[in-house]
Amino acid sequence: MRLFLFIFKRDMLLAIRRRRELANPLVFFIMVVSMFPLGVTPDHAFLAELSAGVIWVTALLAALMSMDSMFRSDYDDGSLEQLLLMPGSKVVLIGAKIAAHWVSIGLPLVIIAPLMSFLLFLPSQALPSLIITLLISTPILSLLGAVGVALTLSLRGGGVLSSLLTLPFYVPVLIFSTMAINAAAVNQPVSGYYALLAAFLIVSILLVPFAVVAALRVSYN
Amino acid sequence: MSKYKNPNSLQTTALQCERGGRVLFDNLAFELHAGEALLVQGANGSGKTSLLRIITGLTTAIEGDVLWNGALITDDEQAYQRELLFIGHQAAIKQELSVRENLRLHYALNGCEADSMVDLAEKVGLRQRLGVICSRLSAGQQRRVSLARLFLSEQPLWILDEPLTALDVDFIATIEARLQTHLANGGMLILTTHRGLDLGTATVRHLDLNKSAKN
Repeated sequence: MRLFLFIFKRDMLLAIRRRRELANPLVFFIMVVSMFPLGVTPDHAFLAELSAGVIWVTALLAALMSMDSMFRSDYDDGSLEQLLLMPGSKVVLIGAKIAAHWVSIGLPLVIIAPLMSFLLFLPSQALPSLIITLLISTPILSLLGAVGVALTLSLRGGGVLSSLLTLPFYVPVLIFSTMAINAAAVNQPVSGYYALLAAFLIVSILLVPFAVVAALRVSYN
Repeated sequence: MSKYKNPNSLQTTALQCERGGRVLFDNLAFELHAGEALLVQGANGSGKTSLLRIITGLTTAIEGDVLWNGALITDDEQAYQRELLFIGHQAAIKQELSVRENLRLHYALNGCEADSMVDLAEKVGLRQRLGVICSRLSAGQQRRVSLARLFLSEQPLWILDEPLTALDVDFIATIEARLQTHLANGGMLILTTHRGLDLGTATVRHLDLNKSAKN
């Protein structure tokens, strides 16, 4: 637990120092979503139908473009080696890094998304499910992204490859999240979707840190 | 005289390492005991860094084993890694953080409280620079921040990859003195360097990777 807090605090401090880099995915998210009504049509009914998909696809891409920052700078300057050699569980270490990444990238997206949903006229009864799906699913994005990034760390220009590796695993998250929001928009029950997403999250939390430790081992070999 | 519980030993058997389809070294074996230093030499690209990484356990060799006190290092990796201090050729300091914050990370990596930070900064000659962001320091000063760990370390096995890069003469003398104390206390040292190093009266073994290379 001490190790978790230490790594978490360290990564948060670094994230705060790199504010501008951090703002990148968030600005991307805001820009794309706000361009949509301008570029497509300002028609309420049409946008309302699109809104869940647009917000989710954009959030997913914004998260994806930030994944590289999770390990890249630590790998490049040699600190990742030092962290891996630290006394303590490597799984906890990786878990803390992923958690810090989610708090610095995923959480801001969750907070800003409801605001952006007004731009796209998301039906108000779907708003809670937008927030809930983002809250459950953005940690999944960070977790799955970590595996892809860890596997491709030692490759120059591994960013594209890691995106390609990760994207297929993002698809189910995207499908169930948007289905939940669309169901909520027409007042249908949504708890089934939440349960599926939550199950996905739990499985990822349990398995991903081990996979990342193994992937890093491959990257260092 | 030895400040470590039991006299430690490190041994490798027939290590083989391959990079990019080329065998860097093969059948590499050495032994190291408490109070001894191993100087790894070799041309650029001869596998010095790879060897050090294999010894830390970060990388696994294709063939051969690393034994710490007679046991495979993979048996209890955490216990072994607690016993070693590795400083790679990258400085491993965070450019965005100040000297003070980086030193605090050193303390945490060592698992001790940051109670004597000013003394530590004094030892590496950065007392006046504690609040400076590391990206504003010179290469040599950054290296000093990184080497500050030597003055905290309680680990018996030190593995240093090119520790003297970018350092000035005065600080090299400080580091030499520190290494000598470490060895006199029964510590062990493995390092690569392209320049001469005065390790005093300690037993220094030499390992030349050019000779064990196979083409």
